[in-house]
Amino acid sequence: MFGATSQPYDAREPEFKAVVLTMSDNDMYPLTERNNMTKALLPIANKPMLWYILQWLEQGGILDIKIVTTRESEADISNYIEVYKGMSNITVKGLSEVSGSADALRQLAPQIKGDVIVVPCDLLIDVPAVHFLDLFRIRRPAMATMFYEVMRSEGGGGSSKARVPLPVVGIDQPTSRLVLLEDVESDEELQLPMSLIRRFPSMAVSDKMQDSHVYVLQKWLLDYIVNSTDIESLQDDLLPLLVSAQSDPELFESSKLEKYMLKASSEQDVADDHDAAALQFELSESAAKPTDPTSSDSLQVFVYIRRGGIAGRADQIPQYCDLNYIATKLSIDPRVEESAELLKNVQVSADSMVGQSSKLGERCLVKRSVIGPHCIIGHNVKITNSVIMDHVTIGDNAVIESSILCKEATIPDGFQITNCEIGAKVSVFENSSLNKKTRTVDDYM
Amino acid sequence: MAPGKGNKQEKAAAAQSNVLVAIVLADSFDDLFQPLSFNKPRCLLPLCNVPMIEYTLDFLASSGVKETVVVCKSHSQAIEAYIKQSKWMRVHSPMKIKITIVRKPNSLGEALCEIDDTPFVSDFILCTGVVISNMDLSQLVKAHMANKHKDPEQVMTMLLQEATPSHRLRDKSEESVYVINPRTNRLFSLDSVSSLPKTSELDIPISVITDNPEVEIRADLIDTNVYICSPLVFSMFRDNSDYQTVRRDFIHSISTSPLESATFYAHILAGTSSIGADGRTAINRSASGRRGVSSRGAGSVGSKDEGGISNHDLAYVSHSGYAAGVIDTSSYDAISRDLIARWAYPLCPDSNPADETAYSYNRGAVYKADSVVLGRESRVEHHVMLGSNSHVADFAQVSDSVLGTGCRIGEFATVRGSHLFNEAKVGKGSVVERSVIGERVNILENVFVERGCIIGDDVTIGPNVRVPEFTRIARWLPQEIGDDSSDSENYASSDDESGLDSDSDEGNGKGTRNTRTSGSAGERATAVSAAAPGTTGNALELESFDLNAVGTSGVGYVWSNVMGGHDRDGVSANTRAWLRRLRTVGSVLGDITTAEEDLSKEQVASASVKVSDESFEHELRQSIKCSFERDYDVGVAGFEINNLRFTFNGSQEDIRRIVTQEILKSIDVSALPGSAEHVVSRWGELIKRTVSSNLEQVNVVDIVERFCALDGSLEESVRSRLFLLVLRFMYELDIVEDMAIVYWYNKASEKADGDDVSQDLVQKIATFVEWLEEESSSEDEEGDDSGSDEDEGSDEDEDSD
Repeated sequence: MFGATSQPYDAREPEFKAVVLTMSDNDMYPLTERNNMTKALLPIANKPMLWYILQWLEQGGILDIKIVTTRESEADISNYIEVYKGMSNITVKGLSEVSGSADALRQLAPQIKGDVIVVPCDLLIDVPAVHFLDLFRIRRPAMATMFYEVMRSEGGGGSSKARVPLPVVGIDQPTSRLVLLEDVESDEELQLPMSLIRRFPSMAVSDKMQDSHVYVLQKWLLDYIVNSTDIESLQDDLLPLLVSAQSDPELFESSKLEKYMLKASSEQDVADDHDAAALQFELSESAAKPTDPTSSDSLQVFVYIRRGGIAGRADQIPQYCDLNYIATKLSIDPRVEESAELLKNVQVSADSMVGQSSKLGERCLVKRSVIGPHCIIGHNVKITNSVIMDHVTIGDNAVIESSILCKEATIPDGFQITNCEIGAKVSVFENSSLNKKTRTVDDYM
Repeated sequence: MAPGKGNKQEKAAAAQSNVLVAIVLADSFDDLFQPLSFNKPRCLLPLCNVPMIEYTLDFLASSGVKETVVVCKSHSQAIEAYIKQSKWMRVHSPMKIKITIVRKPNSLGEALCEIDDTPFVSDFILCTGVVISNMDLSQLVKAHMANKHKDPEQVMTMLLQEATPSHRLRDKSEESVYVINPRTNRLFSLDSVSSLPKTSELDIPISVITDNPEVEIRADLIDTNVYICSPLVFSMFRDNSDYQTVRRDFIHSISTSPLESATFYAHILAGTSSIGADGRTAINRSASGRRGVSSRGAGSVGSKDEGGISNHDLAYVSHSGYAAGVIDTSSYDAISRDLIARWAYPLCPDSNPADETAYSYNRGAVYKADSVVLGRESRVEHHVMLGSNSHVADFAQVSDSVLGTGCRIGEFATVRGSHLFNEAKVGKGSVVERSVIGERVNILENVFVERGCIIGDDVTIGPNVRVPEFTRIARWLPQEIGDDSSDSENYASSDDESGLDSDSDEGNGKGTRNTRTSGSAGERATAVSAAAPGTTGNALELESFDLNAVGTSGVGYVWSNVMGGHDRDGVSANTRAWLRRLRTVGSVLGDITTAEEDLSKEQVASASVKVSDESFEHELRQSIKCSFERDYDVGVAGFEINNLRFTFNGSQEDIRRIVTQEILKSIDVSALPGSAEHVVSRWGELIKRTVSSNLEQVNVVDIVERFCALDGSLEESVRSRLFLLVLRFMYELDIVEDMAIVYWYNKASEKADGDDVSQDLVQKIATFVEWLEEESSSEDEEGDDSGSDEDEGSDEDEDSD
């Protein structure tokens, strides 16, 4: 099955081109404030979150990576890529007006020649990319995505705990096709058409599966997106459309998906004829090509499900804190950097981390927390369950619990902070404590 | 108590008795095997030439069951006699067998109620019907017991077999959808719906999905009729003994009932079919390891990662095995094929549980017993079992079939996919296709038995006839034709005077039965000749047999497929006949489509939209008439209509139409103005209640017009007059407003006569409409309130008359 990919091997043209989307949204306010840093560079266990996804791609053998970002953040990310030590070929592209993930892809389309893998910048997942990509390589679905079972929250910091309800997803178990994607209000009944059950008699259904926002798209689907300007988001527009079109021949036809697919498969035939002599070892195309290109059954959306593993997206503050905790626990980097300076009787628990050149005063206690580089922390400070970014100053006897301190924040002596987000460059000067608050520079103007 | 097997029950609580007990329900409480089960209980019928109950007992004994209770009703003597002489009664038998005879029950539920449950202190195995399996159930029992500690509410673990939707073991008459949590194996809901008519939607309570990390919705599972039950089940059956089956009724109603907290579990055997454990994508499954940490990831692609859930006790249980229950002749046929094709290895014909006959296994899965005689030119092809002393003559063909002891296949005969019991004979040149042929049946020359036939013991057929597909022929007629209980009860065996010894019963019974039923047999013969035009036998009547069907030398009666066409649960007799046919040997998946087509034709023919719609209309009309007769208060009548609407889920449109029509009907046309005014003012409120928008008012006018134009009981002369009067009174009572009438009039006058509207009627109200228009415009000018409407209306009355 070495030749089962329908793309003939060409050294100049890589199999996949990766697009990393780093557009930030407001869910991470105030962490993503201008003063602080762009979302892709927020630290998880003292490494920018972008590092994790770039590593994931590189280990999966994808070396042609394009990072899409906004004009404002372009410089920051480019600077980081300069220092990023990797083997892949990374380009950074700042786009000025982007309305969604599909729109970003549309703007990039002219530079993409083959299949494309779209990843978010905030994903942490323990499944090697190969496993996921093999699913795509073997079955050649129109689109493959990855869902993961939502991890139990570690009770990470932040003032908000609300979660968006997830849609009900249905996966055909023998083929791992995504066959159902439906938003259901609570206290309703889920109505399933019997025709769907007959067609997919062994279906796993769950509302605990989160879309990882990792998508692999065939080239023809990319062409389709380019010409369908009403599709703005891959997650909210394209995926539901494809899932319904799988079992709805009329929609398949009316949405013009059929046209693009047929065109792609006929071009493929021509290409195959050309290369037939050169690639005689290539096995039959049956696995690669849909059996009957006219039926909607040939349109397939595959989903890789990661159950019970380590997977998450730092797209909201509680999740960001959870991932920090988990990544710290699993990190193979030294717990306390050599250049860090710890005075007497400092306790740093095994699930915590202290960045380089940070100073911790006497009798400090650090539990389940990450302390960034160049922080100055006074005596007898207790830090639990928190994320402290770089250049933070904390006064003596302060207590920080389940909170996030952005870079260059200053906390006075004896201050108590619980469940708060403190923006960049903030000097807190309330009386003695803060609970469940968000503070930015603007609050103290 | 059991030193050798002691380790198997170590998880059972010390206080409980650690002897594993099983209940086998030998009676099926249905007539799906008739007329084969006429003389012999179903469980003693041969499956691959071994009485079926042997397989069940063997399965239980090898699972470590120490005590089995066989519950029987009809033919209990025969079963008792059989057990007494069987190997299970010998001294070294590993299992004790007790026979419990129940007298009254007509259903599984009632039977379970009657069983004395005192010996069942611990959980036990329940087999309904006959179960064939090569599994060791003890592991599953152990897992069940262990799970009990985790979930004290657990009452039952059911054993399910995975199979593709087109698998031959599948019950084609119904579709079952199971909702299971794959991590705990808990069964949340079980919906069994009849495959005719097809259901289009399935509702799953959202709580099932939100309460679990993941559930599987499975439609590819087959119930094996093996259940591990807690003794609580007895009390649950006592609370409601109406349950007909464990799966469809008991589990379904208990698991959907909000009052019951009992939980069910399901154990799934990975399929015998090609798409089973291996076909399922291991990628998705493999990730089930909760503790799998990053480096390992989903590393174990390609294998079922059972290690990951090893803290679940159910993971110990092997996931493969064969288990299936004989519930109808279709599954009987399928299981027989599975055994012959060695799907249930090591359970196969050459190593069958009854050690009487030795079979040798030959090429092409042909099993031969001793002293089989095969003609030199005969062709005995794949998947055949030949009982001892069977004889296949030259040029005869046998394939995919089971032949009992002493069967004789004549020259040039063909037997395909059939089951021939002991000493059946197939004459020269005859063809038997996918049928079950009872003991000592004699099929004479040139007989064609089409698929799906069931021929009872001692019947003779032929020569030169064609038995149409799915015919049932027996030596005797069922005694009570059209018995109401036939659907759920094996009528023949129920009156099998169980007090008598069954042998003598047979001897005595023959003559009386024959004479008692001879009258109706003649009718039956003519009915059959009409139904089977292909019969070639001449219509000479000898005795009273169905000679058209069984041939000139034939001995036997045709049993019509459906006894007692009683309409139950809104299912038509024809549907039931089809469902029954789908459960018969020889039925194929395509039959479902054929049945659907047939049934839809039937519906078109009877011009009925839906059964429920029809009865709704009927009920509603009755209720309204009743209200008129008894002169109810309008409020009471409206309340009744509303009740009906909710019961039948009727639409507002239907109610409006029916109510209006009924009201118009009650107008006495001979005393027109007065009667119309009285009726409309008395009952108009009912119509008004069904109207909420302007368009619906227009619809009311439509209904009135249609009634006046088309109702057969009206004379031509009064039609238009009635129309006008009714409209006027309706207008006066504000049931329809002037706008609606004007709108309807404008629309109607544009249309051509005849198709939708009668122009005569439209013309008749022209002046009325004109006046209405004037009235409304003048009203506008004056800005008057509606108080003067009525006076004006009565003036108009004179005008228009």
